[in-house]
Amino acid sequence: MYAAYHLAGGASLKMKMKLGAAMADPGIIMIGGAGTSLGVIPCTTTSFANAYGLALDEGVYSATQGDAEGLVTVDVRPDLVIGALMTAGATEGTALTILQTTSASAGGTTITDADTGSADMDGGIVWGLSGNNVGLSRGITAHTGSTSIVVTVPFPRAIATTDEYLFAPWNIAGTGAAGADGPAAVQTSTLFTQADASIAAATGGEASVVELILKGRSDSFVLFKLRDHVHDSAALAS
Amino acid sequence: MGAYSRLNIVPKYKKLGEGFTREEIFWSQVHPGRRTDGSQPRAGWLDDLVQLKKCIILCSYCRVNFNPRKHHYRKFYCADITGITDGTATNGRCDSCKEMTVNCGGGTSFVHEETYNLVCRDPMDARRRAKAQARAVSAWQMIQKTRRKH
Repeated sequence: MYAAYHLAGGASLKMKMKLGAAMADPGIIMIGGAGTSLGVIPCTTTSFANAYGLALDEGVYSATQGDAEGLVTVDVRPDLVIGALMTAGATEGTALTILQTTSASAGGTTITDADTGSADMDGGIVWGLSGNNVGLSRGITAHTGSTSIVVTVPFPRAIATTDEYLFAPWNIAGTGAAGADGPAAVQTSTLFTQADASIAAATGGEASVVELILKGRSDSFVLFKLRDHVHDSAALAS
Repeated sequence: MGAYSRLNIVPKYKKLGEGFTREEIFWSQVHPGRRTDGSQPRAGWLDDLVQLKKCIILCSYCRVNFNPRKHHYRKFYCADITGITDGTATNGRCDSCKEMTVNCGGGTSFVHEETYNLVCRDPMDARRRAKAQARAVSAWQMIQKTRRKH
């Protein structure tokens, strides 16, 4: 993941934080540790609770006397917008799944393809990769598992069987309620460096999607802000 | 009246280790920087950070003493949507003098080359890559170009 920008603009604010657990890669979200893991620790794939920010380098954690204390540099501004490459699964670098409708939709609303998968994409986004509606995107308003995706606002041209579409469970608008929960969460890949686009909408760590960069199968990004940042919400007593 | 009893009232917040806010816990985990008792000179501390390929934050006064190219470092870039800074400004505690960079004319941070593409998206870099990709041709296109010349 990378530091894209800050919502309020200006310079980033970086702090060197003490590590509470081992970390493998730079560019991962750091959260607060507790107990014997006091310090900052890598997030989990499904939770960014008590987030401190984005790690900008690697640290080596050690609990051995004589070893150097593990440190990691973190951008701690709560309005940091983090960019993550979309991957179609828990494994990093998996290309997004292409949809090709098996029956043409003259009204431009339905993509019928078993590759839509079982994860609920209602509230997410679908965009044209090639064909009649290349470069256009629409919010997903209905998803039938492994069968079809439906959009309420039609694509301007018919969806042909030769068209290719990509889809993701995120959206930049929504209330958080079921069917409008695209902006609510981001789940990371196994190594915490990319965003898993194969999971159901509103699944994953606490995030607020700010922007979507919708390009190809291996170069589309989701940009989000951490929703449960230590400086961002009502301070909670320990 | 009954047995003598003593009521101990212990305030929950900011006393006896109870009720620390998340922000207080945050500041307790910030590393204090290099030691200033004489055992850790500035150059030695920076050298340690460079060996570990850590992000280095320097204020405007200390910045001039650091040569990023020599250590394979680059300026960290994060876009400023207000346009007030050029995207390379960073604030924090200077790794050399330990002052907050906001009080020292602003700061700059540097990341190691190996880390740069993992945490930054520099538009100049993206432009260079796009131009290189546009210039690159496939074997078929090269053959067609050669055929047209003759």
